[in-house]
Amino acid sequence: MKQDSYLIPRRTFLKGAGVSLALPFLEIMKPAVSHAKAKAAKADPVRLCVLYKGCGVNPHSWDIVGGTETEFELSKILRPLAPVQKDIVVLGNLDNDGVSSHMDAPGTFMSATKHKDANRYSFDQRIADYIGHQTPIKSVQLTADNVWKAHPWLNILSYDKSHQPLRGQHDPQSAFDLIFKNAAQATRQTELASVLDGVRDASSSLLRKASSQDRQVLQQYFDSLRDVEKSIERARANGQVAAADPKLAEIDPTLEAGNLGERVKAMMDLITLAFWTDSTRVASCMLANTNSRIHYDFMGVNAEFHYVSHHVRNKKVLPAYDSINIWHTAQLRYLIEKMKTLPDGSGTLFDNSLILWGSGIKHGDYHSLTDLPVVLAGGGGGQVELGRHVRYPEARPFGNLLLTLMKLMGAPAESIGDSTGLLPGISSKANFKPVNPDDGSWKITQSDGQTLTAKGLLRIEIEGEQEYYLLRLSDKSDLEIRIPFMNNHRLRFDRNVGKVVVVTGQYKVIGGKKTLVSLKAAKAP
Amino acid sequence: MSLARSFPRVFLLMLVVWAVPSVWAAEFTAAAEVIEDRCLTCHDSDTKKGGIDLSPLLEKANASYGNYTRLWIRLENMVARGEMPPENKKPLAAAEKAAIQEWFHESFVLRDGKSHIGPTPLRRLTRYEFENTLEAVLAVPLKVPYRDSITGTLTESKITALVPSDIPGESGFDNDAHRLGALKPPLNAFADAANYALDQFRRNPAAIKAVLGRAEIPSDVSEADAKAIISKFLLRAFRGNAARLPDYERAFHGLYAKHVATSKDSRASLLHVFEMILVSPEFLYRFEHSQAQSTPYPVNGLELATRLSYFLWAGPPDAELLNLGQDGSLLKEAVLKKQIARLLNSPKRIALSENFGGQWLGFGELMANREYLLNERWNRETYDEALFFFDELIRSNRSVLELVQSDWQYKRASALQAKGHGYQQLKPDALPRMYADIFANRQSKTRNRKTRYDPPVLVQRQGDRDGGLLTSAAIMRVTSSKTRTSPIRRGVWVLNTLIGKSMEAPEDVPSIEEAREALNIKRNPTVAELLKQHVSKAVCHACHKEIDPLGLGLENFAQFGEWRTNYPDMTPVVASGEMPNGKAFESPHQMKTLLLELYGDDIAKNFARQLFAYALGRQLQPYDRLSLDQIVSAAKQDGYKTSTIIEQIVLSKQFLYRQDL
Repeated sequence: MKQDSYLIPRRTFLKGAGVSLALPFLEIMKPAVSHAKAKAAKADPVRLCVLYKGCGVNPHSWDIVGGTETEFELSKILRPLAPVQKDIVVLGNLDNDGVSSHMDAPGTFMSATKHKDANRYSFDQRIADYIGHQTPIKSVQLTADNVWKAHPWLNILSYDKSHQPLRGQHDPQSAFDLIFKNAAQATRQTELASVLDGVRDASSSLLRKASSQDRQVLQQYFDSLRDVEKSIERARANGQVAAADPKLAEIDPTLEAGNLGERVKAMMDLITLAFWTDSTRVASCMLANTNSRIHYDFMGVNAEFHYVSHHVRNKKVLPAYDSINIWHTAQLRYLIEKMKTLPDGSGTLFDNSLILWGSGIKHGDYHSLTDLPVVLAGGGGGQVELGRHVRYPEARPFGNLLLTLMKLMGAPAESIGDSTGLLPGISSKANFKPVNPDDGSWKITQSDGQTLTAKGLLRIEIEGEQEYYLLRLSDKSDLEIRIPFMNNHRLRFDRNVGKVVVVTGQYKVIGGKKTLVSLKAAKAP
Repeated sequence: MSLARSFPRVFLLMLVVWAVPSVWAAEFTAAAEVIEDRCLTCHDSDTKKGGIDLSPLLEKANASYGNYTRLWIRLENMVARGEMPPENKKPLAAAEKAAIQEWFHESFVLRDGKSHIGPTPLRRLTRYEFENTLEAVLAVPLKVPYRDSITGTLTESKITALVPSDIPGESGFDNDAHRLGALKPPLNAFADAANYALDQFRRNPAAIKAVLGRAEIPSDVSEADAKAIISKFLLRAFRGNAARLPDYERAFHGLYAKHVATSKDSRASLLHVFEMILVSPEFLYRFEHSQAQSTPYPVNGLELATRLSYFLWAGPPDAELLNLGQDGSLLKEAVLKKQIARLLNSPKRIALSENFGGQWLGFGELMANREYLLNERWNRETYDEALFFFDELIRSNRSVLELVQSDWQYKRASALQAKGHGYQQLKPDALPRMYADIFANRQSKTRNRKTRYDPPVLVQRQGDRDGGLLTSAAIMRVTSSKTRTSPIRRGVWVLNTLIGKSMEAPEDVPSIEEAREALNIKRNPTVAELLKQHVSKAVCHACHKEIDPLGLGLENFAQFGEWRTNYPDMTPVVASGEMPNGKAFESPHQMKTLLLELYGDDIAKNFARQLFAYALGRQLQPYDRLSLDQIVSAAKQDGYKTSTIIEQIVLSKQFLYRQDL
C-alpha cells in the first residue's frame, strides 16, 4: 500500500489497541460526511444504538430511592453518569415476561419475545428494515465480550425478519473493514453482484428439482443470496462514504483486539464514526453477555463477571460485582460525551441519536425479569426530554419501550412481543405522583410481647458483608430487621426493598429498640 | 406434486392409520398404566417434581415422534438405568420396566416393526470443511502454515477471518446439518473467501498445473477451450458429481461467454466463473440422489466416497477415492475398509483430532477464544499436547479409555528443557504404530533458542500425576476460570462431556454457592467441606454424589494444569473422596482408576456416540440405537480401539444408507 497523503501517517489513526478516535481522523472524514449529509433528507436522521450488558445488577446498588422526576440522586452504579445526568433518562419498573436463562436474556431484551430461537424479530432489526435502505449499511452488530465457539448464542442480540440470528463482529479491525472498507470497494461490489447473479442463474433449476426437505435448506441459501444483493444495491444507492472519498479505502487503522476495555472503547468509537458518517443508523453492541467469563483485571477486578453476579449467598463478591457494573455505566458516559463533541445537522450527533443501555435481567442472582435496569440517552432528534428519572407507578411491559423507540426511529408498529402500547413519559415529563409517598400510616400497627406488625418503606443497609433492613416509619424512625438467611430466602424478602411493605414477625429488644429477628409474612399493603 | 411421487406417501399414511392401533394398542396401554401407577405420584401436572410432568405421555397421540419425543427419551433413560423411581421408593418390577421399554422400542426405535435410519438431512460445508475443500479443489495452501517459532501472536487464516464460525447444533458439533440447514449461509463471506483463494491460485503455477493441467490460466483462448476448462473445474469442485453436470455446463459456459464478451480477457472471465462455482449450492452443499423413500436404501459409490472423506478428513475425496466411488467398488466392504485405513494414514486425518476432538472435549477453545489467551507459547503448547494425544489414539489404534489414563503422554518441549525433569522420551517404536506420523514435519529448524517452538514430545508417564488427556493442562484449563479451579465445573465436565451423562439441574435446586449458607456452613470452609455439606442434603445429593468426587479428585491440578499440593492461601489440597459406589480414593491417579472401573464402558460408549453424531452431522435419535449398540459391542471386543469404532461407524446402515422420509 502506498504511503498515503493524509495529514498524519496511517496506522496512527486509531492507534493500536487504544483506538482513540483522533480528531485528524474525523477531519479526514469530513468530505465524506458532507457528502452523506448532502444526500440526507432535510430532517436530521435519528440513529439508534443498543448497548447490552448481561449479568444484571445488585438491585440495591442500582435503584434510585427517593427524589422527584427531575431532582434525584444517582445510585451507586449510576454515579459515573453524574456529569451527563442532564442527558439521560433512567427508567424503572419495566418488566419482561417469563424466566430468563443465560442464553435467552439478550434475545428477550431485544424483542420482548420469550424463548431463544422462536419467532424472534428484534426491535433494532424492525427499525433497520424500515430505515436501513437510506444508508449504505443497514445495521451493525458488534460483540465486545469473548465469543465461545461452543456457545455463540450467548452473544447474539439481533434477529432478523426471518428469525435468523445476526452475529456480532468481535474483532474491531473486521468491524472497521465491514463498515468503512468492504462495501467501499466498488469494483469488488460489482464483481460480487455479478458472481451472485451468475450463481442464481446457474442454480435456479436446482430448487425445482430438489426434494422437499432439501428445498427448505436451499431456501436459506437463496434468501441469503437475496440479502447480499440487497445490501450491495443499498451501498450503491446511498453512496458509500468511502466511495465519496476513495482515499478512505486506504486507511488501515490496524486495530488490535486487546482486552475488553480496549475493545469496548474501540467499538464505541466505531459506532460514533459509523453514525456520524451516516454509514448506518442502527447499531448494537454486546458489552458483556449473561454468562460472561471475562475477568475484569484490566480495570482492577480480578474476577469473572458471571461468578460475582451470583452474589446473594456470597456477599464478599459484591464490591467486585458493583465495580464491574459501575465500569459499564462509565462506558455509556464515554459514548455520550464522544457523541456530544460531534456537530450533526443543527446540533450534535448526540442530539440526533437514541442510546438504549441495559441488561436483560435485573437481579444478577435470581435472574429476575422485572424492573429491568435501563438507561435511555440521546435527544432522538428532539423527541426525548432528558435529565429525568421515570419510575412507572405500575409495571409496564418492557416491550412498550421497544415499541416507543421504534416509533421515535420512524418505524411505527402495532406491537412487538408482549407490548401493550406506547410508553408515556419519554418525549415529555411523566409527572407521575411521587413513588411511595408517606401518607402517615407507616407505623407499628400491632404488637404483643413477642410479635409485631408494622408498615413502612423498606430500605437496606450493608455492614461489611452483612446486610440488614430498615423499615422507615412516618415518625422518621427506623425499625431494624435482622433475620436469618433462610427466612429471608424463603420469603424472597430482599425483593421488597424500595417498596412500602407490611411485615409481621417476632422481635427482640436490642439496645432498647425493637428489632425484628424473624418474619412470618411480608407483603405489599 | 405428481401422482406417481405422492403415491408412496399416501399409501404409507394409510398403512400407519390402519395398522398401528390394532398392533400396538395393547403395548401402549401397558406402558401408560405403568407411568400412571408408578410415575405420576410425583410427576403429574400439579406436583411436577423436578419440573417434570409426565401426564401428557398418557395420551396416545403423544406416544411417538412429536412434541414429547425428548420427554419419552428421558423417561426411558431413567427407567433403563434404574435411576427412577428414586432410591427411597420401590423399584420398578421387571415387567413394569419391560412395558415401558417395549413400547419405546416399538414406537421410537422401530418404525412399522422394522429398523430404519430416519430422514437424511442435506449437509452444508462448515467453515472448517469449506477451507479444506477450497484447498483441495484449488491445490493451494490456505490454512495457517505451521510455524516452528514464536512470533507473538496466534494468527488465524484469511479464510477463517473472512467467514464466521458455525453455530453448533443439537449434536454438539458445528457440522450439525439441521442447524446449518436452518441458517442462512454467509454467502458474501464465502464469496470473498473464494475470491481470496482464487487470487492465491492465480499466482501459483503448480496449483494451476495440478487443477487445470496447463501451465497457466490462458488469457486468450478459444471458446471451446474455455468451456473445456470450465467443465473440468466443475467436476472437480462438485466432487465428481455429474448428476446435473450438463445443466451446469450450459449455464456456466453461457455466463463465461457473457463475461468474456465484455472483459476480452479469458483469464479474468474464467476466474470469475470459478468464483461462481465455488459459492454455488452444488459446492457448498453435499447433494445426494433422493429416491423419496421412507425405508433405507444404499447410497451410490460416489456419495459414499464423499461421506467418508468428510467424516475422516473434513474435506473432499481425493482422486483414488473418487475413482473407487465412481466405479462402485467402494461399496464392497473389503475395499471400503482398505480406504478407511488409507484415509487414516493421511495427514488429513488431523481433522478428527482438531475438529472432532477439539469440539467434543472443548480444547479447541484454547486457540479460538480470547478467554484462554495467556501467551502464544503457552497456548500452542497446551493445545498441541491435547492434539497430539488425541491423534496418537488414532495413529496407534489405542483404546479410547486412555483418554482417562495412559502410560504415555505428550509433554511440552519447554518442560523437558528444565534440568532434572526426569522424563524419558519414548522411542519411535515404543508404541505399536498403525498409521503414519502426521506431525513429522513439525520439528523445529529454528536455531534461535528464544523464539524456537518445538512440538510436544512423546514420553513415558512419570509417576502417578501423568497420563491421560483428562488431566492434561488443556482440559484442566478449559474446566477452570483464570483465577481458580472449580471442582463442580470439572466434575460436571467429566460427567457431561466425557461420560456423556446429561446433568440438567432441576429448577428448584439451588447451586452450591447458593446453598452455602442454607447448609449452615462455617465462615471459611475448605472446598471439600463445602462439597461434603452440600452432598448431605438429599436434594443436592442425587447429582453431587456423582459430580463432586470427580472434581475433587482433580484438585491437585491448578487452573493452568500445573501440579500443586497447596492452594494459593497455603492450605493443603486434599484430593480425596468417595465415588458413588462407595470406593474411596486419595489422589487423582486413584480417582482415575475408579473412574475407569465405574464408568469405563460409559466413556467408551459416549466416544462412539459423539463420533457417530459427528459422522452423521446430526444428533443421534432412538432409531440409531441398534447401530450404536452394534458399534459399541464390536468395539468392546478389542478393548475399545479407535479404529474399530471408526470402522464400525462407517459400516453402519446410517453411514452407508439413505432415507428420505
